[in-house]
Amino acid sequence: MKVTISQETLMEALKRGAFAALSDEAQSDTSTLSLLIKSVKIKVEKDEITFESATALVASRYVEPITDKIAVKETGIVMVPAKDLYDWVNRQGDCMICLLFKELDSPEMINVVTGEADIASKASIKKTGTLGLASRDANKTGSKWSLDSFDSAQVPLIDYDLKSKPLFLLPLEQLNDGLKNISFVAMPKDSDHLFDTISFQHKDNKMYIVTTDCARCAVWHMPNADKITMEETFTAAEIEENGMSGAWKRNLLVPAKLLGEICKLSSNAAPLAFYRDEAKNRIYISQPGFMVRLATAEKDMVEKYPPLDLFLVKQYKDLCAVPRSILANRLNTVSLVNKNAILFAFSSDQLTLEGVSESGHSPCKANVSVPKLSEDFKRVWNVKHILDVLKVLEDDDIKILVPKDKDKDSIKILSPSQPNVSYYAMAVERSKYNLDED
Amino acid sequence: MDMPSPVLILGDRVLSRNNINSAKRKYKDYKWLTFSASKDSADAIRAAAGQGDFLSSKKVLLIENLPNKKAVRDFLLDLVQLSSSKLKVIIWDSEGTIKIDSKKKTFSKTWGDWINDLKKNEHHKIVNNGTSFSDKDDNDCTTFIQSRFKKDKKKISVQNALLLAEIVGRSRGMLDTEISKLLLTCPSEVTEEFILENAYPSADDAILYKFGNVLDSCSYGKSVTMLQQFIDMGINENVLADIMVRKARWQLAASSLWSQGQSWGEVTKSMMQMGKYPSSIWHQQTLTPTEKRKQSEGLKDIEDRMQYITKICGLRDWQVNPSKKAARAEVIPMEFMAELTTKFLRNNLIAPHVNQYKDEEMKQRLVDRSIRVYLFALNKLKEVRYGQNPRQDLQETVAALTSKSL
Repeated sequence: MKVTISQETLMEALKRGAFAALSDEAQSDTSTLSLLIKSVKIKVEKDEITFESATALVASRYVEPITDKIAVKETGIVMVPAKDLYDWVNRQGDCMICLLFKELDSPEMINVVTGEADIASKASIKKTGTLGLASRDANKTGSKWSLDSFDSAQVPLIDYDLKSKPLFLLPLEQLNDGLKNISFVAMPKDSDHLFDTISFQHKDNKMYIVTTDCARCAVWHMPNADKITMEETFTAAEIEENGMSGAWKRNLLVPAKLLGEICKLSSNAAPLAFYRDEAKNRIYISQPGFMVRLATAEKDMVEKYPPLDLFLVKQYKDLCAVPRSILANRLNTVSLVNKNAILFAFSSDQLTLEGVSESGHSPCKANVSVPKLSEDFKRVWNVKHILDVLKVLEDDDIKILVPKDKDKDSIKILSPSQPNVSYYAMAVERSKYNLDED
Repeated sequence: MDMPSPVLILGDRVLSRNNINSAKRKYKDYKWLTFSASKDSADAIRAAAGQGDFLSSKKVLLIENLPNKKAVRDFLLDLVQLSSSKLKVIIWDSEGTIKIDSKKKTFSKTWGDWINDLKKNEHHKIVNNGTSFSDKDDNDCTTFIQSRFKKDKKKISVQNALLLAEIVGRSRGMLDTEISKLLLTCPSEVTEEFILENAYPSADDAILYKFGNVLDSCSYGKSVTMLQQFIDMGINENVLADIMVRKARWQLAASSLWSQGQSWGEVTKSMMQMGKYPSSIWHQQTLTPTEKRKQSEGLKDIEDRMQYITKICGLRDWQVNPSKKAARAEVIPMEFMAELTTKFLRNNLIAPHVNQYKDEEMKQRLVDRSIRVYLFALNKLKEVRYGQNPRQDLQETVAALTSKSL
């Protein structure tokens, strides 16, 4: 294999094709296959170069068509450590890079544990040759290096040839906006891979993305979702009648952290297409030339994820508008006493915040003027749930809504300038605060 | 079945962790939230207990790291009253803060009162996994081991149960884990050989049993292999050299006693008396064991012992190493160890030469051999500590101890 490619093109291709191999999961792998898991496969053909890498949770493929910036002199396949190659290419600056594969006369077995030559065993990996790297800039200077190349046949093939139709197409820009506004609600890590995800659900041909940790929730409406073939979310009546069985067909759960990174690597030129391999329970996200396969929550676990209709069907009414920065200031003050649960008492066009602690601090109170208060209302909320929302919104005033029915255990926060987003938070019960009506 | 609440789990850490893991499996439809009573604030724990949930999930608050603080105890008593069908509270004394009086076998008054208050909650459950067995708790320890094997329809004798405890240690958790492993391969009746072969030596004296057993087989190859295994496990060379000196010393004691005319049975009994009385009393052959015990009664206290050494035995103060005032004399931990030593002498040293030497000559040669081996092992111990090549010194000691030559 011999190919010359511009540094910029190779860098962009590696970011995408070696996405899985460069992930934290791959780089911290200590299994006997770790050398292969940390490697990127580069397949050079006459009309395109394919970059591929895979772990158990994520796999990625990027196809770079041959253009003026690439000169293929000899086709072939190499599999080299992705991080080493990426770091070397990243340090080269604006130049042309030549990749030259030198095959060994006979493959060498490398013991993964000792790193030395070995006879074939479970802990050994086949080295087929070395990939020579040479860079040359406009001044005809550069650097040279080489990396071991392993036999790519040692890793299972991933089938990226999808036969099914996409579940939906989403404009990248809108998805990025949505993620910016709601991804903070998802848990950083969940052992069931349920609440550290972004949920895609739709109702009445409107696509929504949802994040929740069960105690709070953020819903973002995607106005321009296209070609939706995924089944519509359960209605409240359906849930009451049949339960949540088969929820995985109506709710696509995509790991939030990985989705954010994929969006950064994707281009605005084309929408992102979402697919599902039902048999293997894998999600595919695709753009022309770039495809990522992700593991998702177990099918039966998806039943534990709150359905979209739970939030859409509940009727809320306006309680008041609150100045955002003042509310944030008062909450920060009162949370000096109790960082977890604060009493919100809406009364007489005023919001009084009260912090009471069991750690010995004396109670702290603060108030905010809330003109045109529709009714008196008193509940305890988690400070973080409200403060996090105030941080992402940019309006001067935010709207607070309370349920119309008697069951006033949740709150809804809306942004007048951002009609696509709504936030929900559940109240804290059984607290030490006095909730009796005065 | 509804889960009890509040639940207090205390005692052995490993068994308690097992209790919690099995509860997590059994009550997997609950959402489990873990807090530290030492690090997390009472506000955070109470907020988590009361936090509403869109799916009205049932949750379990697992509270670990119980500190010895009244405020925390009072808070927890208050918190557990929130227990309901949707909220369960488990308090785990993961750091062993709740101490049990070893003499009275009861909780201290503070914790006892607190536990009694906890018990006032209707659906409470106290899971006491006990502490490590002390040297005096032989009966409890063997009963624990035997019942653990009995659950899987396997038998183990009291003697072998004690041997297992000596090898593995007396922590309930360690024993439980080790027995779970042994149950996978053990025969219906657990034998001494099986234990010595398969039990992982985690107790301090365990290496002595395992290594000593292989040395007694007189196989240089096996002994050196095990020596290497122990070194690879991180056991210091000094410890292994010390074990071999002890083995040689026991052989010398047994040889000496046998050469003085004792039967092998008497030799075993005498060896078990080693270290129990001051040597000046132990060596008085006219005294019966009861008389020896009576005479040594007055020497249990260090000051009395010092007085005995200086005033009765005539040693000067400066002749007694003050740092060794409290040092204990060497004892053979279990009778079977003494039996193994005499068995080794009979089967591996005397039997092969029984036609070669007459009785008296045999006794003389056996004692000479034991002295030679002991002095050699002692010298090698010094070499291991201060020399350049401890592994070679250890291997040479193994060669001496496994030699059948008289």
